Amino acid sequence: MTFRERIQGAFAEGVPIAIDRGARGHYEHRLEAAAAFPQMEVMRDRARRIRAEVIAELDVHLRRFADSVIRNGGSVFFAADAAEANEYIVNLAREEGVTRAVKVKSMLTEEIRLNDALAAAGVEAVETDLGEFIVQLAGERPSHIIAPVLHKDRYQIGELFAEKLGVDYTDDPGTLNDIARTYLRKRFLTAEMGISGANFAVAEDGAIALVTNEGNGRLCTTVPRIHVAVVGMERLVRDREDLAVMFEVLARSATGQALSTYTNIVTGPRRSGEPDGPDQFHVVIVDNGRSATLGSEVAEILYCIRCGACLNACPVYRHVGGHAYGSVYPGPIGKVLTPSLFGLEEWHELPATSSLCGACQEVCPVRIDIPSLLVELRRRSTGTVPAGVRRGLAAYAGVTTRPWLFRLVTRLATWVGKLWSRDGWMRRVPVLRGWTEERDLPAPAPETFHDWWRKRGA
Amino acid sequence: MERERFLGRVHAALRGAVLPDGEGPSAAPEIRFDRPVTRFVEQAEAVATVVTRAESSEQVADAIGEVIGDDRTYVGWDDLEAFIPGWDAMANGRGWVRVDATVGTGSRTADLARVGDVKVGITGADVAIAATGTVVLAHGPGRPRAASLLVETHLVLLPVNRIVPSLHDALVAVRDVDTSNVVAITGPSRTGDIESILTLGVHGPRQVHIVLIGGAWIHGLGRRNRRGRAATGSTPSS
Repeated sequence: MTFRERIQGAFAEGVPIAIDRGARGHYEHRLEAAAAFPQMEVMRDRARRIRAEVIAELDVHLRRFADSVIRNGGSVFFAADAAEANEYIVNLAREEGVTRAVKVKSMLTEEIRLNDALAAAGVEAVETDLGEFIVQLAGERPSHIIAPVLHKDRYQIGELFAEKLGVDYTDDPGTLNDIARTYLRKRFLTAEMGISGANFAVAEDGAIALVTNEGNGRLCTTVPRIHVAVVGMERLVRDREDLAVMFEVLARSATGQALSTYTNIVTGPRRSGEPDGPDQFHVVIVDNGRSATLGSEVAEILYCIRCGACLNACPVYRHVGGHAYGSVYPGPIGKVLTPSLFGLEEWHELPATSSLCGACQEVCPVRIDIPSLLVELRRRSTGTVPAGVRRGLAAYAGVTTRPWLFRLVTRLATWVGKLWSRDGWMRRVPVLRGWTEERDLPAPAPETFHDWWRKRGA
Repeated sequence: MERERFLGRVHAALRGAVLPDGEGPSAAPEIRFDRPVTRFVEQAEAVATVVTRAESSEQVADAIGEVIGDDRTYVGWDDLEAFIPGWDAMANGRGWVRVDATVGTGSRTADLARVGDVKVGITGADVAIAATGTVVLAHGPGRPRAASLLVETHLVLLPVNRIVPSLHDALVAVRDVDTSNVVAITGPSRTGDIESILTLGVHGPRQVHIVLIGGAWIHGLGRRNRRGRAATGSTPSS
């Protein structure tokens, strides 16, 4: 399916209205949070520098992190790709007799499709973030990296709960919340494994830092016997001081909160004498295309801390919603990340779906220059431009580099304009159907600029 | 993949990486408040935390009594004496019973069911953050995570001299604690996942009550509790 076809699918379902409202709300909350925090801009500069420095020595920090995890009594597995990561976790589940795993929302586990791998091995993986739980019930995929169910309204969610959970229909968010709380609490208390991602991994002390507002992150990393944290290899910070800086910008950028409700810092399995917590702690560090991205001209995208602010700011995202991108990473960040991680040839459309307006860079907590990265990807993908577009551009170049031909064509255009336009607008132009299907085209001026200039000079 | 091969691949990639420098400052900007305690209370209340100020042992007991109600059972930390001198006598006097929250000595599921039925959790807070109205809990022996997680209502005993300005100060204060878990809690569990409508009490506690303990009598309180957990560095004015 092409980007265009996916957009039409989204439009047919009425998705964009819910998306636009939700994304705009997050965007406005971010603006308010930034305005209420006098240190915001300096903190962003500091955050960018921290990311740049840690990525520049990533191998050193990864080594230090892994050693720290082991010192804390945990295990570390390095996964080159999705298959290796999934295999490790599935084998662990088998060896430990795990039948049910509870999960904290993690885009990385969406990326590697861990749930499918677990299901194939007979392990039930239950998503516990309310939004992600709803998405899982519906058999869909998240449409936003921090608000997975942004594309659904409460009436749809009420119908879904009635159908899948056998409860009475309600569209009251509080009641829907309580239904999910009761349903999921039972699963928390009986799951043998908790699976999380990591907002950050701290090299200095082997900590996994995980933020949630709901508390499911703490439950998944406290209640089950085994905790598995799946960590993208770029998500490192050096120490606690760096971690504090990242948290100062993360929630403000994501939801407009000064700090998420729960900032959870996990340093290994429970220690001697501790009354609760998991007995086993496993960290799976995942590459899956990241080292290739690191070695490329778009390595800066690895500074990303997955706050979702660029999605909320993006006029394209707001218009089409997350599913239209066809990738687990939608929006501006996804347009760079998706082709970088999974191949430009397959995903060459995505870097083109931007007007390069720069709204994403403006809100990015680590000031990633997304527009320049998009241009770079476009440059690299010129080989994959459709033949029609290439011929069109060649024709355009041919016309504009030959003054006599340019004059002829522009004069022709003024006649076309006079014949086919009404009130200065053209409603249907056969060769520009893609444009005129959804909007009118301003008619060419009745006189070419050249003619006008010559007359004026006379 | 074998560790050294994985790291070798990263190392090789770094040679070709185009990494624009961060031109930012070499240290984070400082965050300070003229009236940190006032700021703390404002911020805590803004995220739906209930703050009760208590200036005497009696007031603390009354504040807790109101939350714990006739049920009188709670899960909690065993070192609350470090946050309120005379805790043990107070709890005995009022007839409050601490439910053992140790999990996994016998059946994990049975233990969790027992703990999960208790409605109130009582903990201290090692530090608290003025900027955001946050309490920071360093777990460890005698300090079940369940007390701030599985319960409906989380009650926090916070001596006023543990309030520090920022997250940075708080994370540094607890960095050397021997524990598998530190959590910073900013209000009750919440979500906006359904149409961005705010709903409280998704998975964690539905209510967070902070008993802010101030007044002359806390000056007798040790700046470090018995496990040597670091307390705060500054003495805030209110």
